[in-house]
Amino acid sequence: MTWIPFVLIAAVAVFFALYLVLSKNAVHGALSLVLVLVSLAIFFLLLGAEFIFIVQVAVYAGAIMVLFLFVMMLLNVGGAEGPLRENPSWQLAAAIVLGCVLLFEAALHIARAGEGVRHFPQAIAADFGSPERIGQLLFSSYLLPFEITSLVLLAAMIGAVVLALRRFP
Amino acid sequence: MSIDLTTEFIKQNLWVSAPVWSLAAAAALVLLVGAFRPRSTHSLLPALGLIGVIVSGCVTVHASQIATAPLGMQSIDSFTVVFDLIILIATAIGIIISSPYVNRESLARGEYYALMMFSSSGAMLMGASDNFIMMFLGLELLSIPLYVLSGFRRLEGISQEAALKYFLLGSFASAFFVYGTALVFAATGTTSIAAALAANSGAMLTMGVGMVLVALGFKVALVPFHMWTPDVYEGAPTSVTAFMSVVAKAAGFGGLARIVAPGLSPNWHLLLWLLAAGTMIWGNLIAIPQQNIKRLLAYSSISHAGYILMGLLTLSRDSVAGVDGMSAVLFYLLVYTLMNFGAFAVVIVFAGSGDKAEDIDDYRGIARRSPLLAALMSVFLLSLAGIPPFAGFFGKLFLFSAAVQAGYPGLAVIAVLTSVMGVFYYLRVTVVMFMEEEPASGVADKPSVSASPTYGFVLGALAALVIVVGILAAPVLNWTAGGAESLTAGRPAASASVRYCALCRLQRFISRPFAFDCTELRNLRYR
Repeated sequence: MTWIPFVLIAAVAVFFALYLVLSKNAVHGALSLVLVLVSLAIFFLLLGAEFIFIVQVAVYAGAIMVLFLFVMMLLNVGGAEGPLRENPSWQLAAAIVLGCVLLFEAALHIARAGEGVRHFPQAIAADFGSPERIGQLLFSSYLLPFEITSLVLLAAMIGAVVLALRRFP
Repeated sequence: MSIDLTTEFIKQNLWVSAPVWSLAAAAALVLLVGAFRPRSTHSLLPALGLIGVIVSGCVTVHASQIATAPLGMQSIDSFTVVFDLIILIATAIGIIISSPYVNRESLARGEYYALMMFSSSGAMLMGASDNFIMMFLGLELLSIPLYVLSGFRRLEGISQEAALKYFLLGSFASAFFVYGTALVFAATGTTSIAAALAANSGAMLTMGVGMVLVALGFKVALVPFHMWTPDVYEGAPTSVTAFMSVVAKAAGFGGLARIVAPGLSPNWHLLLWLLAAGTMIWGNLIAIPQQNIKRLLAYSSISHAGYILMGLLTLSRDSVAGVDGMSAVLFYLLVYTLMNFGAFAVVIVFAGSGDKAEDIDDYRGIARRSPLLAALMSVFLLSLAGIPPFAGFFGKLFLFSAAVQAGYPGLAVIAVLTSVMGVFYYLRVTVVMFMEEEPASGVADKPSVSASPTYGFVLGALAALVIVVGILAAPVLNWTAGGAESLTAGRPAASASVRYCALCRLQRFISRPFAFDCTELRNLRYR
C-alpha cells in the first residue's frame, strides 16, 4: 500500500509543474513552483530521508522561493500580462528534442537498474541519513569543512554589504 | 567509523587548518579595525594586513612541525608549506601594491584588504585539501571575495561588467565542481581524492573527475575555459587584477596538483596534453594583436597557465620526472608572482589617476620622461618572455626540461615555439617605450610619471628579486623540490635527487660564485 501516497503526491507534483510552465501569471507560477518543491520534499520523506525533507522545505520551498517572489514584486512583473517577450520558434523545437532525449535517458537508466552506480557492499545502517547521524558526522569527521563554511559565508556577507553600500565614506 | 571528539582530535584539527584560520583571523581583525577606525584606512590597515600575513606564515611553518595525523580532509605536508608561503608572499606584495592604488582611486576600505586576505586563505585551503569537499570550500572562499573585488569600482560600468561576468561564469564553474564531486561520490562512495582516484571504476568516475578538472581549468584560465579572462582583467581595479592573476592561478594549480598527484589514469594524459598545447598556442597567438596593456597581460597569463600545466602533466605521468616537473611548477609560480606583480605595478603607475592611460599607444616614448620606470617595466616583461638573465628564463627552462624528461618532447617544442611568439609581444611594449616618439600634442601637458615612494620601493625590490632568484635558482628550486617530493610520497618512486641535479647543472655553473650544492642542501634538509 505504499504506492498510494506516492501516486497522490506524484499527481500533485506533475499537475503543478505543468501549471508552472503554462501559467501566464508570474506570481501564480512562483506559487505553483512552491507546491512542486513541497511535493518533491514529501518524496524524500517517503524514502526515509527526513533530513533532506527538512532541508528541501526550508531552503527551496522557503528561502529561495521567498527570494523569487521578492524580486518579482520589486520589479512589478506580477500582473496578468502575457509573457515578457515571445520565445523564438527554435526554442520550442529544441525543448521537444531535448525533452525526448531526457525521457530516453531516464527510461534507459530505469531499465538497466542503475548500472554504473557503485553498489555498496556493506548493508546500510538503519539510522543512515537520519538527522542524528548527520549531526554526529558534522561535528566529528566533517568538523573542518563545517567550520570553513562559516568563513565562506562571512566573506560572502562582507562582499554583499560592500557592493550594496550607497557610497564610500 | 566513529571519531571521538577528544581534545587531541580537536587539537589536530586546529593545527592542520592553522594556515587558513590564522590568515582569516587576521582578515577579520583588519575588517574590525577598518569598521571602528574609518580614518585609519590609508596606512594602518595595510600595515596590519602585512603583519597578519607574516604571522600566518610563522603559524604555517610551526603547524607543519606539530600536526602529523592525517585526518583525510586537509594535510599540512611540505607541499602545503611551500605552496602556502608562495601564496602568502603574493598576498603581501598584493597588499603593498594595493595600498597606494586604492588611496589614489578612493577605494580604501577595510573590506578591501579583508576580502583580499580571505581570498588568499581560500587559496591556501585549495592547495592543502585531500578531499573534494574541502577543495570546493577552498574554491568558494577564493572566488567569492574575488567576484566582489573585481567590482570594487562600483560606479564604473566596466568594473560592474567584470564582476558580473566573473560571478556568473565562476558560479557555473563551481556548479561543475559540485556536480563532478557528486558523480565521483556516486561512483566510488568516497569524497577523498586519493581513495576516489584509486578506485578506477568506469565512466561515471571519469565524468566526475572531468567536471572537476573543468572547474579548476576555468579558475586558472586554460584555453577552452578562458573567455572571461581578458574582460575581467581589464575591468577589475588593476591591483585586484594583479592579485587575481597570481593568487587565483596558483590556487587552481595547487588544487590540480592535489588531484593529479595520486596519478591519473593514462587516458587523461592526452587530454591534459591537448589542454596545455592549446592554451600555450592560443594564449600567445591572441596576445599579439592586443592594444590594451591589461588585456595583453591577461592573454600572457593564459599562456603561462599552459606552461605550468605542462609541469603538472609530468607529475601525473611519472612520479620521478614528476618531482622535477612539480618543483618546476612551484618555482614558476613563485617567479610568476614576482614578475607579474612587477609588470602590473608599473601599469598602475603609468595609468595615472583614474586609470586613464592603459593602451599600449599611451606608452609611446615614455622612456624619455621616466627612463627608470621604463627600464623596470622592461625587466619584468623580459622575464615574462623568458630572456636569460632573469628568473623567468630559469622557470621556463626547468619546466621545459621536466617535460622532455617525462617523455613529452613534442609539448616542449610547442612550448619553446610559443615562447618565441611571446617574446614578440613583450618586446613590442619595450620597443614602443624606448624607440618610438611620443605624440607631439601631449608632450606639453604631461608631466613626467613618477612613482610614489611605496611603488619605488616595491618595484626596486621586485626587480632585484627577479634577478636574484634567477642567479640563485638552485637553492630556491631545492626548496620547492621538497614540496614536490611530499606530494608524490604515496607513490612508488626512487629518490629524484640524482636526476634532478643533472637538471640544474647549468644553473650551478651560473651560480658557482655562491657555491650552493644541491646535494648538500638536500642532506641539510633531511638531517
